[in-house]
Amino acid sequence: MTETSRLEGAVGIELGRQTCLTCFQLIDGLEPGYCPRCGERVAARIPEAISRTWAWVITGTLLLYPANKLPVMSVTRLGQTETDSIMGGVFTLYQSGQLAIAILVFVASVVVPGIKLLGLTYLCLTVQYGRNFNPLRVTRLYRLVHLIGRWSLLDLFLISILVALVNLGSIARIEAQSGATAFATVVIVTMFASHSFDPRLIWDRHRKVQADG
Amino acid sequence: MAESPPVALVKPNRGLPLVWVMPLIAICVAAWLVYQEFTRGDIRVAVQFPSGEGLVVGKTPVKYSGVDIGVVQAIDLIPGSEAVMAKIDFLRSAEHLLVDGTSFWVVKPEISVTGVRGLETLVSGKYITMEAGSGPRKRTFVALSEAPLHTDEPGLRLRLQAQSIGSLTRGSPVHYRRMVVGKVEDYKLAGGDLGVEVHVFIEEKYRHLVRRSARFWNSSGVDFEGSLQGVKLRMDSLASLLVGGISFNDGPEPSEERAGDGDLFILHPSFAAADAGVEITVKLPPRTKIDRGAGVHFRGIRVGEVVSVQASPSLDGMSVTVMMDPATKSRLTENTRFWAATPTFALGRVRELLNGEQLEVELQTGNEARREFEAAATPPAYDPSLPGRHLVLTAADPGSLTRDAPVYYRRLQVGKVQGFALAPGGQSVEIYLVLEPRYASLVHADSVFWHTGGVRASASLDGIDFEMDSLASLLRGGIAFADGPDGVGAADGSRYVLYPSRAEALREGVPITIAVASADNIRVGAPIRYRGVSVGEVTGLHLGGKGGDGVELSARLNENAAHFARTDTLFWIVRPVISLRKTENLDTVIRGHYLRLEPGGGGYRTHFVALPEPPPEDEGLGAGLHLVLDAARLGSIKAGAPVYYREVKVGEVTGHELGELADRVYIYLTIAPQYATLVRENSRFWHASGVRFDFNLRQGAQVHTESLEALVAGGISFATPDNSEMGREVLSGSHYALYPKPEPEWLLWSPKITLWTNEK
Repeated sequence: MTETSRLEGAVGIELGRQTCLTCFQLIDGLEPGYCPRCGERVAARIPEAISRTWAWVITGTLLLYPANKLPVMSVTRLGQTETDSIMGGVFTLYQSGQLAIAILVFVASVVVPGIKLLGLTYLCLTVQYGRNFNPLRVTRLYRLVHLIGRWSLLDLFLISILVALVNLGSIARIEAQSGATAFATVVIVTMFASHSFDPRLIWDRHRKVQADG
Repeated sequence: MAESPPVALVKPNRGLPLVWVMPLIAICVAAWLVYQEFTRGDIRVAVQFPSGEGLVVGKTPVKYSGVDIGVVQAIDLIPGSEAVMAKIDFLRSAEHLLVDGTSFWVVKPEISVTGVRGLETLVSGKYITMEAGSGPRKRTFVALSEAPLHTDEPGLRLRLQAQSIGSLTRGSPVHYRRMVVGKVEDYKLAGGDLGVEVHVFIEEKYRHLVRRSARFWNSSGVDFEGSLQGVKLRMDSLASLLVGGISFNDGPEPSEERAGDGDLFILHPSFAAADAGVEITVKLPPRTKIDRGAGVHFRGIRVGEVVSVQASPSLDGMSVTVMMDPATKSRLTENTRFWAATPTFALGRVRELLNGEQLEVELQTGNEARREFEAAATPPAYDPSLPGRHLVLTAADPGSLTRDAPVYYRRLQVGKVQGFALAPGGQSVEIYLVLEPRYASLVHADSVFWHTGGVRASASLDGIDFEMDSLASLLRGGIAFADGPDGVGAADGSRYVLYPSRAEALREGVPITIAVASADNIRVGAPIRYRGVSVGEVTGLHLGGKGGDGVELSARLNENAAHFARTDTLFWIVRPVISLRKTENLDTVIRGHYLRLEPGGGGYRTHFVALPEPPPEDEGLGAGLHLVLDAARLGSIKAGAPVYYREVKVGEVTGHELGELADRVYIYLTIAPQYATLVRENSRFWHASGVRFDFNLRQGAQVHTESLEALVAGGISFATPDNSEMGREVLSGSHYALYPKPEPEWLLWSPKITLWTNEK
């Protein structure tokens, strides 16, 4: 298949048909409604997709502040309590020579949410205002954003495992702090954001730009 | 597709998606945090520390009342000094503490004799703590170099004025009756010539102890000895020995008024200077050596201390100034006596030895108070004031007895020696004893006293025999006494004779004298034995004796052997006999010679003359058959040589002598009683000495001896003819010829003779 052949072809909207995204029933007509087969809501395009995505992206971005400001966990050793924020923890790990873990935590908790939020922002902007873009690349970016979302939870797994493992009373204890909650919320919110985005809009935009000349 | 796809059901649009609520919530959360950051966030404060030691950025906490209220966030060096400026973020809630007057310091672990502080920092690292002040808001502080000692604890705070600080430091203890009741909080130079002002903190619960009349003195170092509280002083004031200390007492005339906060007292450099005792002057006899600081003891209780020593004005001794415990005040009278106590080595009183010479005092109430005394060089020999039974012993010399030597009754100490004095006229020594009151009734009019001093150890092969009453009496001598049968109690001042030993005191046994030619390795203590049992011992050796020649042994027979002191009892010295024939009394080689006796009858007698040689073995005398052999020459026969019958020893040679005409030798034999029947009229005796060597062509060579003993010492054999020819039994005194060798037929004789047995 050539590049052109991929870009061409029938589009449901032009054919006057839509698909149920749950059971993939083809439906005649473009009016939003419910799937006659499985009862799921159907629409030619996910309604308000851009608006919803923007809402989640903005929520996630705002929550990044508490997630990084508040301590994510506290380590109590012999009565001495040390609290660490995410970046503080990465720094501590790096200083204590555990470079690999530091990079892992950094990627999982800083890079990944960052890529997701930036990527989604870019996608939304492209779909709304994009003029010269390669729809294939943009779609690839969408896939990437969708794929990496879950890996941010690695950090939270680490914290929950540590909390469970290191609970030696007053000798050593690790506890999750409010920052962890904020961070978890960021991760979940970005996943919602990527879910609410409708990648078909990329191609709609592409066609529109091409039609406009 | 036959059928077109179904048409979706249409529902109306509902406007802006609900999901936009989420950003609103997020905005609220973030805004709340931002608000907190600006309004309730950390307060940054700069604190200057003299050194950055132990401070860690991001780690070192600031604790107030045990709670973390801040963390060091940055440390900046201050150019031109070693100090550092620490930037500390405090919790907003600690804002009220960050005011003028608040002081900071670093808590370090501190282990010292006065206590352990900040030990938790060994584990957790150092931390900063603070004491809140009260004043206007402040954001820059200068930390203290060390923890301030003053606390907000309730208590009495006094000021003491001292000439010098001595070894006092912050935290030095303040003692009252050797108990720590407070500490030195601070000290500083007072203005002008006032020396040092020491701030002392007395705990609230001891507040009442400080009277207005209290005397404070510096008990730093060894001078702390100055407290009048007894002997354990040095040990439990080890802390004050090292870090100094202050003591106080109520003063010479205690007032009822209590001290208040901020009262000023004088801190005297020493106990003596505190003038907290009764000062007296004691003139010491020449050649006593009392040092400053020496104790004054009353019956073992320290009641004073020598504070200064100076030569007496007339240079015939020295006089010391003594600070006496105020408690003794009423007993410093004309009856009070002082003396120099030279330390004696005594068990349990080693301390005395270490302390050197001390003064001792016998405190007595009297009519007039005195402050000047004259000490005797020696303790008073006799002090009737001591409770108990007082006795006087007379002895030629006190031997190893010392003052305080124990007096034993059945090895139990019941009293002690008080002292000695020469009896009037100088003929003897009087020894003063005092028995404890509860033992006073043990002494009776006929009690006998003897000296138990020292050790009498006799080591012999039988073991080592120690005779001593106790280690104490070993060191300082001792006196023991025993009761006589008479039950009349003794009165105070009764006089007794002190015997040098128990034996003499109890007059046990019978003293005898034995004249010997030479002492011959007999020593004092050598036993007198009868049948191996010791029945007495030699108590002395004297040259001369009655004839002016030889040696006279004085000895004592034990009580149970007193009946041996009879006219016919024989004594002789047992010496070792070592010969090939026999070895006897070998033990005497090592144990020394001893005396043996053979009891005899007769009247009572105590003077004996020892036999020069042991009497002949008397088992044979009377018993057994005594024969006389006539021989041409003696050969190798000696007394003790065996007599054989069929090579069985049946008797022995008891002696020999030349015949009356010197034409022959009479050899005396004794045949053991049970073998007496073997000797008959026709028995033949021959020399069994030497080796008989028979050489016969047919039989070869024959070497024949009776026994190895006979081979060397000589011996006699005899044979008796067969029954028909043997003849009758013989009587003692029968004479036989001694043949030089047997006839062969004699050896073949084999008469059957019934041996004599006891049953018959």
